[in-house]
Amino acid sequence: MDNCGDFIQLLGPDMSMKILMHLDNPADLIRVCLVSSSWRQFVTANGLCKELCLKLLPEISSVAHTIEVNNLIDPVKLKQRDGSELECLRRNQRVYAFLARALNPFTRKDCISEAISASSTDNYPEESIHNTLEPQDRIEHRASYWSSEGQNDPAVSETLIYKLMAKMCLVTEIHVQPFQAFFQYGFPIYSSKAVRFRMGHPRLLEELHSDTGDSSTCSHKFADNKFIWTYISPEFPMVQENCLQKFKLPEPVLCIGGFLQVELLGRVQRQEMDGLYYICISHVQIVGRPLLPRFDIEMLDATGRCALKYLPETKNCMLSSSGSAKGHNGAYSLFHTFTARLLLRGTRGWEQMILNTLIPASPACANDADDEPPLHPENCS
Amino acid sequence: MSTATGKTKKITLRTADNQEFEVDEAIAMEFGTVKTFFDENPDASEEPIPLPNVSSKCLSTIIEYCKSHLAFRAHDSSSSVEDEAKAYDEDLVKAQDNESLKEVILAANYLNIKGMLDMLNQAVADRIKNKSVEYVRRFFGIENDYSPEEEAEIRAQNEWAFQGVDPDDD
Repeated sequence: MDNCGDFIQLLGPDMSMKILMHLDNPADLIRVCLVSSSWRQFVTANGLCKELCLKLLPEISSVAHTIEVNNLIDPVKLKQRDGSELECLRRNQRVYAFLARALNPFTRKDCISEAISASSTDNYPEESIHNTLEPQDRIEHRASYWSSEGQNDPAVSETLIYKLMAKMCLVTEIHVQPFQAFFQYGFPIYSSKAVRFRMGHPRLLEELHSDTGDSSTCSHKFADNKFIWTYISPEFPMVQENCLQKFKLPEPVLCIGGFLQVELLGRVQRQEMDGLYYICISHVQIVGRPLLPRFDIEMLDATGRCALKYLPETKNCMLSSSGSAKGHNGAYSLFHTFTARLLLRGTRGWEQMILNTLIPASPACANDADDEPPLHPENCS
Repeated sequence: MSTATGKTKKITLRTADNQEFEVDEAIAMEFGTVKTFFDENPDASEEPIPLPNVSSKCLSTIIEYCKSHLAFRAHDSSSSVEDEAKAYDEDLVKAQDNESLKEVILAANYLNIKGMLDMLNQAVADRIKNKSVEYVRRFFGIENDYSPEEEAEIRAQNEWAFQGVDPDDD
């Protein structure tokens, strides 16, 4: 048999399915589609990309509705959307293949890249939301927590807004640890009665594209109205205990837009000094699978529709300037360790804030380090 | 279907190119189609069973596979025997070029030998993993029926899927 003709036809659909199902890389399936139009027809009609995606990421089943019915994800920015069923199938297929490839194969606990804002803050910046990124409730001698403003009415809730490390993330759990005031009589724990979570994207698309901006003032201004929340979770009761409480979403949720809001409902603890109710949180963690680097989305409109993007060149905003920080005094090395950890998240906003606080005279030192040879300490101030 | 005498019953199979193979009953029963045939015809005569879709080359490969795996299974299932079986499978597959691999799959499919088929399917998938579209076309003997524009469009829409592909060196 020199030319056995079309393999898929010869073996029949079941056998061919079995062979193609042994492929465990979505890229292989996409390439198979390009072999011939009948092969693409076969792959599309049998939903092989979706099957593979479900195999690699079982949680995606909870998101199928978003993909297939709500049509919130476009595989590519299309000017007009062809409504034919075949086009729909093809579009869904590309989305599944993309997600199978683009979402992190492992669940990460560090999906937060930035703290954006809190609905209120008692003492800024000592009790700002940025402290909730730190797992410890104290750093050296200083307590690390966020505190709301005091209220007479215990029913007043608060919100904290975080930016995730990617604009799309499959979120499975959120962890919140209330703060126990170890320096107050009776060691009160300032938890809330319950928590609830929302996910979404910035209201104005321009806001999305600016990664810089004055994050220092932003963080304690109420920014909630700047976002459109496309998902709201059920309420979870919070216990008044100083522990990292884990809130597992009933089903994994695809956060489209990269922003998550923690709503703290109701207060339970009065501060003895002033008789007001406060909420204080020492740590927040978001657990899920963000997009891998090189994969991204672009928000298209206010309904939460987005287009998938692939960036062949990695846009790297990490500093390669460890040389310039060495040989400095303790303040620099503390800065370097602290920033290095944050830099791994690639957040330029944070860099700027730290630099402005610690080294007011020399922003050029760190920013230009990748282009210039390592600077000597004397040149740096 | 036990035999009165202690002699192992042999079954004769005739291939497409008119070659006859005599195999132990146990081996022939590994072939789902043969087994079904005998289940439905318990009084079948000793005539050779025709297999018009299987060449002698394929059949001898398949017979070797079944013989070896029967022997493996006869041992206690330990990890070393499993490794041996795996190594045997890998060698068998390696010895096949793409054409023969396809033939063997079709034969195994026709003869309904589940274990071998699963193994072969995985082997085919492994052969096309991370290969370029052209390689896969050649492997399966498929004609490209996309226009250059269509092909370019699909590539552009799924750019990420066409990165890091193995170079075609065959």
